[in-house]
This record gives sequence, structure tokens and C-alpha cells, in this order.
Amino acid sequence: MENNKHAIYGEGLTRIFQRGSEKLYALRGVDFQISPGEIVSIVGRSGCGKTTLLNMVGCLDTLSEGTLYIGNTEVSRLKEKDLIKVRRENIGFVFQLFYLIPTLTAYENALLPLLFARRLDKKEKVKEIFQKVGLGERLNMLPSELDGGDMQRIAIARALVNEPKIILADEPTGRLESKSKEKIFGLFKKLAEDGLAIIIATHDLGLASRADRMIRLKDGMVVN
Amino acid sequence: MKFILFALKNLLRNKIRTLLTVLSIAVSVTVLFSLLSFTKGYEKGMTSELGKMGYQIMIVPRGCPYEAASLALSGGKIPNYFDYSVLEEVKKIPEVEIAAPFFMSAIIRPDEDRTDIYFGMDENMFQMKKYWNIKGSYFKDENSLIMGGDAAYIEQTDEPGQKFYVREKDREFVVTGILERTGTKDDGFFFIPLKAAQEMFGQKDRVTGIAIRVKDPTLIPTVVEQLEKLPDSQVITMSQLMGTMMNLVAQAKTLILSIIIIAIIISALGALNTVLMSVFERTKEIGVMRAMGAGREHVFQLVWVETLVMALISGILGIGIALIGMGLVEKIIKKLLPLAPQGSVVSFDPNTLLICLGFVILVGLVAGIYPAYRASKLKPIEAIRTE
Ligand SMILES: Nc1ncnc2c1ncn2[C@@H]1O[C@H](COP(=O)(O)OP(=O)(O)O)[C@@H](O)[C@H]1O
Ligand SMILES: [Mg+2]
Repeated sequence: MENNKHAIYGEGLTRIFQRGSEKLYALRGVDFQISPGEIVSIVGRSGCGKTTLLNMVGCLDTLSEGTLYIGNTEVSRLKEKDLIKVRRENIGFVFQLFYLIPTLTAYENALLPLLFARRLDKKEKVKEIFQKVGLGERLNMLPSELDGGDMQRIAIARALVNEPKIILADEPTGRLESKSKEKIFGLFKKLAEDGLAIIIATHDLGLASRADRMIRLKDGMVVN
Repeated sequence: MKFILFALKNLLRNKIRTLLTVLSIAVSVTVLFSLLSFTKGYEKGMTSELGKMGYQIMIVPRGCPYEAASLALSGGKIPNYFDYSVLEEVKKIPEVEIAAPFFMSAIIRPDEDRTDIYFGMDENMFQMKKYWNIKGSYFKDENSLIMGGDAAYIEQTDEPGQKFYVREKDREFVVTGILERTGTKDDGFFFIPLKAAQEMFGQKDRVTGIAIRVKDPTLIPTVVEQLEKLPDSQVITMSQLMGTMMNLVAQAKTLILSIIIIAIIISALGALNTVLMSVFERTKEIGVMRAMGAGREHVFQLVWVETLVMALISGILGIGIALIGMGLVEKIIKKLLPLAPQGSVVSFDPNTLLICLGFVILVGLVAGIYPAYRASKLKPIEAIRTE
């Protein structure tokens, strides 16, 4: 199969966790696609499989069954080592709890992916990205000196430095008050306009409904 | 920003914990460095002291080697004597260049807590002490006395010509010379003519030992072989003597070294524990790093570098403390050691520094492997899971 159109193309995505002797289907044959420039929201109750889906398409975990393309690369059969490469080149993660490193400044946090990719030559770009996500000159502040909205901006800046094609955001506004929430969503909109594919898993139906498309999960399956 | 800086910042997160770990490694390194410096210095001190003696062989009446050794180095009362017939025998050996008889004895004054060592000698011994710098002159008559540098200091004698009275023996000497300090035991002695010593201690025509200089150091074994045939005598070569001393020191060193090794292993385990705890505390961060494109090797490297940096800081600190405390160690060791050479027993040696640094790096590398391995094995999805 060729996948020219989609940033992600997945068919029959299934992830089974072993719970003692029981099999737990966190994802059960989910079909999923997203195109560049599109924002897709994933909603559903806690435990329905949102995070698992993001982890699958983010190549953080391997599928039990199904076929998955990231761009033109089929990743469903790749080894851990190659998955890291695909991840590094294509995907940026944003988490509910930001997960910034408290001892590093905003700038250093955003720089980390370049360190791992051995691309520190591109570090000038970080300042540009800071402008873009609205952090301006707050380069040398520690995460603890900033509010939640700004911390999430650092996390987004960090997700952007490797110039990914896809942003995966797991409940990115779950810990933010409504004003920051709006701004962060606005930022995602802006990034989508630049051609990034953005997937947001969220509890917040109001926010989810403003995505280009909304996918509802229940017990690891898509419901319409 | 480099990996190493990142590692350093991680270490600073829990400053107290890191500090305690660093201190425990540093203390071990301090002791290790001091011990190694001491052994080096001791060897040097002994070699130079023995080299200055001017003779390679000594014979003394039979006794245990330790006694003989202590006699040669520290001086003291020797209970057994030779008569001159032995000296004649020694002089017959063709390879002997000089045979210098001496008579050594001590006067102890318990009330003053002092022991004065009288060393009776003749021109032959003086020949061997060519390196002596005497203020004044060699013996002029039977009542002459030469004071070692320290002895003169204690007696507050700074000019030759002063009188010196030995009240125990009701004997008066005139100081003809004062020795400049030599850095050997000579500094503490009172040198008097051989005959005067024999008389003063009531042992006419007897000697407590004979110092022998051989014409050529390669002839030492030949001479030793012939000397060993003499009855009731014991032959000590200076190299042997040094060997005995060094053996004693080596035994003590082995013991201390094993204690240090255990201390280091314990502190290495402490380092391992510290880093492992910090890995567990950072599970989520490590998961996120993996999500951001860090490979297993990056995580491994990071944790390993952290341990290594911690070990290196400890090592540098430990060596620093040892260097600052060198003078103190010197004093303590000299107090404890019965046969310390007069010169410095602790010496700085770049090799010792390298050994200690190398050792501490090894500790860091080894202690870091397990935590680094554990960290690199963390699965990103498990690490990041919130529930
Ligand atoms: N690593 C894991 N091991 C075992 N079970 C898991 C694991 N991750 C998720 N699950 C289970 O899979 C189901 C889906 O979880 P998740 O994708 O986290 O849901 P959501 O993000 O929608 O709350 C849940 O029942 C959860 O307990
Ligand atoms: Mg979730």
C-alpha cells in the first residue's frame, strides 16, 4: 500500500495488555487516519483507550495487531531502534502534566530533543519557536517560575524543535484554567495552519468539538 | 548544553543526598591517597637514610633481626659485645675497604623523659661520614665530643668549646664540633671517641658493632659470605635492613589497604543506591525523554555520566583534603612509627594522584552500570502512565 495523502494511516489497530491471565483489549481494531494540517480530537471516558491510541500512533509502543503508516513508512513491524528514529523525525508529544525537567531552564528543556537527535547545530531555531508559541524572551526561566499555560508552551516548544509532522497531545489542557486553555488551543490551530497534523485526546467536549474532526472511543473501539 | 552539564544539574537536585554520597567516597579516597603517599615517602626516606650511612654492611652480636635493625636506625643500648679479635678477622677480608668499630650505648633519664645515645667511634667511622658538615672540628683528644644537630639544639649548645658534663658517669667532655643537621638519626647522637665510650660504660676493648664499607657494591655478597663464618655475629646488609623495614610497613599497608578497599566498596554501593533512587524518582522524566527521541543508549549514558561525575568530584575532593592534610598525616605517622626515618615520610607523587583518580573513575563506572541499565530498560509507556 502507498500512503501519500495521510500523515498517519492506521487500520485495525489493536493493543492487548496481559492482566494476569486475562487479556485486556485497550484498543480493538481501530481505524484511524489524519492528514497534514488537520486537527483531530479523541474523546471518551477515562480508560477507553485514548492514551493507548496516541502511544500507538506515536510509536512509543508496538501494536498487537493491525497496520500502521507514519507518512510513507510502515511502522507496524519495525524494531524498537527504528521506531525511535521514526519518532524523532515525525512526532512531537505534549502531556497533561507537561513533564518538564525542573532543573533545566525553559530554553534547555526545549533543547533536549536536539541533544538526543545530535542536532545541536539547530539550536538557534529554539528562539524562533519560543516566539511562535508565545513565550517570547522567557528563555532562562525555570519551569517552577512560570504558570501552567507557559509550562505547556515550553512543552509544545520542546515538541516542535525536531520539526515533526505530527503533534500528539494527551489531555494538554487538563490542568489549565480556561483562559490558558483557549490560548493553547489557539496555538494548536496555528500549528495546523502550518501543516502539522494534530491529535488531541481530551475530556473536554467543548474543546474537542472545535477540532476538524472528533473521534469517540469506548472500550477500545470507535463509536459513532 | 552538554550531557555532562545536564548530569551535573541532576545531581544538584537532591543536594544533601549527593553531598553525603560524595563525602563518603571522598573520605575513602583521602585515606587511600594518604596511605599511598606515605608508602612512597617512607621508601624514599629509608633509601636516603640508608644511603647516607656510608657503609653497606654491619655486623653485630647475635640477636633478632628486628633488634639489629632498630639498632642501626634508631640507636640504643646493645647488651652484647664483640672484642677486638672479631675486628681483626674482618680486616683480613680483602674486599673490605674500611671496617669501623663502634660502641653505642644509652643513658636514660626517666625523670627528664630523655634517652641520650652515646656513639663511640674512631677515624674509620669518620671516613664513612664524609658527608658530615661539622661546625668546629673532629675529636682532638679523649675528652672531645661532637653533638648531632638536634642534640645540640636541646643542649642549647651553638658554639664549639663549651663543656658537657655527664653526671651519671661523672665525666666531662669538651664540645669540639656541632653537626649540621643531616636528616638522619645522627642528628640526635652524642659522638665521642671509641676509647672514651668503652671506658665510660666499663667495657674496655669491646665494641657493639662493626660497620663495613666494601670496595665495590657488587662485592657485598662475597663479603657477607665470609662474615657469616664469624662466630656469634650477625650480618646485616643495609638493603636487607631496608627490606625488613619495608616488610613491616608493607604488612601494615596491606591491612590498611584492605580496610580502605572495603570502605570504598561500601561507598560505591552508596553511590549506586543514590543514583538508583534518583532514577526511580525520575521515571516519568526518563519516559518523556524517550518519547522525545532519546534512545536507550542516551538514557544509559546520562545516568552513567551522572555517577561518573559524582565519583570524579568525590575523588578530586578526597585528594584535595589529603593534600591539605599531608602535614598532619606526617606528624601522626611519625608518632606511631617506631623507626621513622628523620626526613619526610609522606611524599607527593603524581603517580599516586593518577592511581587514585583512576580508581575513583573505576568506582564511578562500576557503580553506575546497574542504575544506568535499569534506567535504560524503562519502557516509555509504562514510565509515563499516570494511573
Ligand atoms: N501499560 C499498561 N498495562 C496494562 N494495562 C494498561 C496499560 N496501559 C493502559 N492499560 C489499560 O488499557 C486501558 C486503556 O487505557 P488508556 O489508554 O490509558 O485510557 P485513557 O487514556 O482513555 O484513559 C485501561 O483499561 C488501562 O488500564
Ligand atoms: Mg489517558
